[in-house]
Amino acid sequence: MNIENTQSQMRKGILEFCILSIIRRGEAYPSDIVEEMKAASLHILEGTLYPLLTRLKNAEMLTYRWVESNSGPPRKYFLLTPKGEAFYTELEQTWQELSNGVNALTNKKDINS
Amino acid sequence: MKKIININLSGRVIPIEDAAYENLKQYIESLRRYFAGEEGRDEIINDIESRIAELMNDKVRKGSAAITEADIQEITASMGSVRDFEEADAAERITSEKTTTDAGAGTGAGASAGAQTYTQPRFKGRLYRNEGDKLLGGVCSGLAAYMNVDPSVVRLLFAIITFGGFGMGVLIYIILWIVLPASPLTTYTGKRLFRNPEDRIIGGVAGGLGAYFNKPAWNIRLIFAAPLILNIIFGIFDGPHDVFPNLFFGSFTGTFILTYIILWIVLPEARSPFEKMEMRGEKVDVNSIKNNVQEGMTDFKTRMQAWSEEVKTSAQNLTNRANDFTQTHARPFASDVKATAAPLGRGIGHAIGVIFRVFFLFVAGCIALMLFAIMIALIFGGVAWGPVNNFLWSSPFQQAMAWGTVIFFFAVPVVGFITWLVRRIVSTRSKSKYLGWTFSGLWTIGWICAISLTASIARDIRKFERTATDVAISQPITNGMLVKVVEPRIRYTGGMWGFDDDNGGWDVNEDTLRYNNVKLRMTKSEDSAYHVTIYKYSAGNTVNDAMDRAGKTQFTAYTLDSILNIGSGLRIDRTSKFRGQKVLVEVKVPVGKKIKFDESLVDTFEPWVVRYEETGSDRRWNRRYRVDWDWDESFSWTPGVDYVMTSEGTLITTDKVINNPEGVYEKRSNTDSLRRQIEQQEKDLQEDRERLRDLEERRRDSIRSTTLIKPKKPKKETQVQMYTAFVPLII
Repeated sequence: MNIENTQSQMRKGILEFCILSIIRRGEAYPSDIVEEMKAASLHILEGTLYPLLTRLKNAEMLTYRWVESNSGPPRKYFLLTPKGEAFYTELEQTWQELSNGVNALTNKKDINS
Repeated sequence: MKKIININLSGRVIPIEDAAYENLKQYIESLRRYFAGEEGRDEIINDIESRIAELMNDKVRKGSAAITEADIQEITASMGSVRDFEEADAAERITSEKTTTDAGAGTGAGASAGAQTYTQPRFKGRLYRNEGDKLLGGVCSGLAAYMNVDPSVVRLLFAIITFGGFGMGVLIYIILWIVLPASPLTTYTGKRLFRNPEDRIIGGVAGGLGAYFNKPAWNIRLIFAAPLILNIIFGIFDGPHDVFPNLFFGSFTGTFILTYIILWIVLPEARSPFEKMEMRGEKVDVNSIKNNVQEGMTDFKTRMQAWSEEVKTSAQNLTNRANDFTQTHARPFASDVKATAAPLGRGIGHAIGVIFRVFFLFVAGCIALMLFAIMIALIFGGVAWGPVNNFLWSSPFQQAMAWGTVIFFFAVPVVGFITWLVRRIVSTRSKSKYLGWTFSGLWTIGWICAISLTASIARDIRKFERTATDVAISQPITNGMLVKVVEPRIRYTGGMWGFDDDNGGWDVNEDTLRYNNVKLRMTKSEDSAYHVTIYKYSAGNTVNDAMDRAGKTQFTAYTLDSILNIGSGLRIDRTSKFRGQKVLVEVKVPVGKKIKFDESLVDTFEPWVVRYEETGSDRRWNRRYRVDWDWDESFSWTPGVDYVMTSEGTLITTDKVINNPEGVYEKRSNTDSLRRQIEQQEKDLQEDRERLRDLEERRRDSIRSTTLIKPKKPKKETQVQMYTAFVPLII
């Protein structure tokens, strides 16, 4: 059992949830997403973000819009589809349950020890 | 000093340092490989590219003159390297319980290994057939994956074992094919053999080999060039003559040049940075093998236990497997076979297919080897070989065309075939169409050479003429004439290319060609004296040329008392060349006079050469003579027997001849036999008359029915006869 593997596994599960929650607040540019996550000290590499976005887009959770930029060619801005919205609410629910449950458990453990 | 280039990345023009550009290209290439299995690969790459472009653009706008290597490093760090992705993905892979792959295994070439590991995890510690990369059954590829070496090398070694060990390799291969289970394995990720475009003099073969073996390319070049250099040096010492053939085709030179050419064609060029990385490889193969062996030794015990366990289970399974064979194994096997051989169906069919394919490759290999040998023989000996050089080619043009024919017409298909075979063995896919075009082009040149050569030779033998010389003879007084040969039969004296011929009948050295194409003809003399005429025949460019060549042919005949002594063969010097020269000795025997043939005639001349028949003339082709090549009825006279000339111009014998199996001729004077012979002759004559009458009648019929029958043109026939006349002499 490898600690890094476990960590990345844990992170991986919530990654999509986090990204969807950022996009849900409004159209987002990938590098903005990275910045925002970094601000929340959830580090993600841009290189891993792009495939994730593409996968979500292909699963029709996301869609994108070309936005003209003042420097250079237009940029891709991602936004949530209704399907993504539904997916997000379900994830959110699961997250609430999970975090509550995990918190309850870990806190209990703390008291015990 | 740094070179700066402008690139267009996702619609932005960015100045970038050359080295930085290489790094960037490499990085994007690694991503491309990494995402090879991904559905939206191109989109992901495009997005990443445009983001990189954006980042670089920012740098430029902030005042950098150009993107440097450090910038690229920064950008790739923020985007994440393939290795980072791999770690992120490792978790996923574990959950999908594919294998317990260690991400670092066999990462000879860093990023590329990542890509490979991503798609196909490497199985360690067990020997499989590799389904992912196979030619026949994936045995070699599986072995290569097991040892973590370049599959091409294993395949080449296997081929060598097969050729060197009389097919042992085939047997081993088939056994392994049947025994080993199949599994998709990761292909070798370490060093690979490429041609090196960065370090090339001719094709980059030596450069690539150097990179592969970690040796300076110049050493390898030296090995390739050594025979050539030595040949040139020896050629200079040897004198200026014949430098050309020695230069290119002396001893090892040809082999080395051929090896080089084949490797040139077979090995792919390392174009992309990835291939260049693969070519240099960070790990040396031998080390990786060593590591593998060491690893294997440390857990040898556990492995042995596991193995015995496996043996036990497989022993148990074996019976089941045998029963299930048709259902479980047969299908993948059948699909194996389907890939290249005809779909042979299930059950026993696949086994036949397997054998067929192995057999096919084996036979193809044998053919290639044979062709190769023939080609070497042709190149080494063929055209420049003294006899041919001195006696056949009448002009430098002809010789050049002959070279062209040998090299392009014969050698090119052989090289092409070998190349095809080797490519098949090392499973290189043809990357360029030029290869085929090159071969076709060269072969076309070969065809042109062959046709020009044929045309040129045909021109040289357009006319066939003869000269006649009467031999002054002394008339035999008693017992008639005895024809004999005193000169010994021509034997090959050696000294040319170590050729050995026990049969004799011909001899050749630097400036003389001798052979025994001598024929005898007996005709009726018009007067009461014997006459001997020597006809010398030769082909030539023009009538005069043919006559000239015929006249230059040396042949002697003289009489001594009643003995006609003829030479054992004709002699041609190198200036008059070989043009199918031959000699006919005509002896005119007066009616009622005797003639006898000595045993030495049969010993000296080829039996089939002696008989000669004149069949008329064809003015159009100026070929007045035609040779009767009747192999069964060779020498139509029995030696040591007295013949008498009849008034019809035929020779009859007064002796009864019994040809016994030991070849000893027994003769007995017998008037009965003579009478019987006369009766037989009369009977034959009667039959001939009847046949004549019959023909006459038919002719009249045909005239009556006004059917025009075109007279047959003997043209073609004579031509064919002409050429067949050459064949035995040339061969």
